[in-house]
Amino acid sequence: MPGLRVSLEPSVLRVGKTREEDVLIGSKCKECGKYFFPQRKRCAYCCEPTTELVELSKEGILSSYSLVAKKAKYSLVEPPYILGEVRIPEGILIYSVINAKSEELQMGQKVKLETVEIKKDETENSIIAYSFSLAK
Amino acid sequence: MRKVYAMGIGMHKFGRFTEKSFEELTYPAIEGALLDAGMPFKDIEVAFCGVVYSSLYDSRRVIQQFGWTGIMIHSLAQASGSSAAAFRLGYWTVGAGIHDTALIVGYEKLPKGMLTGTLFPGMNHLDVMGLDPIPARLALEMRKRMKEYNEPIEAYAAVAAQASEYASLNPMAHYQEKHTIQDVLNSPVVSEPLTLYMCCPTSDGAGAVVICSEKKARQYGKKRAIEIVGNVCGTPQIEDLVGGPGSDIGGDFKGGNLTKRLVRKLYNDAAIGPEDIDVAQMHDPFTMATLVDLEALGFCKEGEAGRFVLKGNIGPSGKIPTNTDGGLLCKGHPMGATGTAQVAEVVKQLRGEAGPRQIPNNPKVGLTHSSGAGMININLLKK
Repeated sequence: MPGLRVSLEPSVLRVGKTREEDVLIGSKCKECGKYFFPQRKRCAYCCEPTTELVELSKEGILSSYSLVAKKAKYSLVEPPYILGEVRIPEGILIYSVINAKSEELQMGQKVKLETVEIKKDETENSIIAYSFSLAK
Repeated sequence: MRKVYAMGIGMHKFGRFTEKSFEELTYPAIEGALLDAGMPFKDIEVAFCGVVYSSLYDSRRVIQQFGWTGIMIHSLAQASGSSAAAFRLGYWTVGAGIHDTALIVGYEKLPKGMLTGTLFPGMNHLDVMGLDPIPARLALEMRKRMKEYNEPIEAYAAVAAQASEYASLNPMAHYQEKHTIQDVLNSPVVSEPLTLYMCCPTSDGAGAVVICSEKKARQYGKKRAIEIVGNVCGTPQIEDLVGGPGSDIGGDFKGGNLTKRLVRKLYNDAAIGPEDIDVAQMHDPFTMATLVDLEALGFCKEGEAGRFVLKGNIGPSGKIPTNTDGGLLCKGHPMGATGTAQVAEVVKQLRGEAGPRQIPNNPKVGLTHSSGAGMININLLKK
C-alpha cells in the first residue's frame, strides 16, 4: 500500500489526494481585506481577531531570486538551489524554493505553485512541501 | 531626558576564541571601560547585557566577576542588535533619572557557518525547506536594487574593500587583510549575487560601555566624555520584510523603510541633520545593507549609494566615513557584542583616539545604526 501524502506544515500547506489539489493557506482580514501568509489569528493592521482562513492563488510573479550555494544547517534541500520571492495576486509575498535553473530565470516571470516530496517519514508517507516553478 | 554621557569604552578583540569562557571574553572589555571612565565598579548602579547564544546565568556571571553589589543585571537577546538594545535601555534609564551610571556589555561566541533565523531544528518548517539562510534574503533585494538603479556589482564589492582597508588598521578586528574590489568579486558565491567577502563572518568577542549622568561625568572628569544626544528605535511594518513575514527575519533591507521613518524623528528632535554627521557606524552584515543605509540615513539620494561609494565617500576623507573600524564585514560580527563595538568606535573617533584609522578634520558628531531581529536602534553622539 502506497504511503499517504502528508503536509510538512499543515498551517501553510493543505495537501490533497493528488498534487493538483494542494493549496497554500493564508488568512484574510474580514474588516480591512488584507491578506497574510503565513496565517494569523489577528490582523496585523486592525490588531483584532478578525481573520479567516483562505486558499491562496496558485500563480504569481517572481519578484526576485537568488541561487543559494551554501547549505543552511537544517535544510533538507541541497545547494545549489534557487530561493525566490513570489508576489501573488492577493498582494502578498511568498518566500519559496523555485524549481528552475538560475539561467532560466528573470524577475517578473510567471510562476506557479508546485508541491514536492521533501522526505519520507518512518512509515513511508510522503512529506510534502511547497515550492514554485515556471508557469508555461 | 537628562544629559547622558558615554564615559568609558572597552573591547575584547573580535575573532575566534573557542577556548575562552564568557568571563574571559568580557573581563578585558569591562575592565577597559571602567578604567577608561575612571570609575570603580562599585559606582555602577545597573547593568544591561546583550547576548544571543548564552545559557541561563551568563550575564550575571560576567558582571559579578567584578563584584556582587546587588545591582540589577539585565540580559537582552535581540539578534545583531542585542547590545544596541542594552545600550538604549541604559541611555533611557540614566536619561530618565532612575540611575546615574550604567554598564552596558555585549558579548558572544557564535557557531561557525551560515547564520540562520532559527537556533534550534524543528522550530518551524522554513529551516528544513531551505528557506532560512539569511544571506539569500539580502541577495533577493540586492538583485532588485541593481536592476532598479542600474547599480554595478563593483559598488557592492567596494563597500567590502573599504571595510577591509579600515579593518587592516584595527588590531581588534577579526580579519585584517586588505581586499581589492576584484578580490571581493572573485571570492566564492554564497547566495548569488552575494559573494563571501560581501558577507560578514560569525565571530566571538565582547564590548563594554560605561554611561552616566552629567553629575557623574563632572565627578569623573568630563573632558573625554561624549554626549549621547539621542536614540530612536522601532520595529518594522509587515510590508518592510524581504520575502514577506515568513520566518520573521527582519532586517531593514527593503529600501531601509524603517530606518527612514525612525531617523527623521531623531534628526528632528536633536536638530542635527545628516550633513552635520562626521562619522557613522552602520549595520552592514552584507554590503548591500550599507548602500541601503547610506540612503535611508540621508547621506546620499535614493538610488545613488552605489556611485557614492565608488567615489570613495565612505573612506576616511569621504563625505561620510563609514564603519571606520572595519564594520561587521571585517571587524567581525559576534552578534551580541556588535552594538557596544559600534558605540566604542564612534567614541574613539570623536575623542580623536582612533590611532592609524583616525578620520581627519576633528569629527564632532557620530551616528550608530544597528538592526537586530527587525528592531532598529539609531544613536547620535557628539563631543
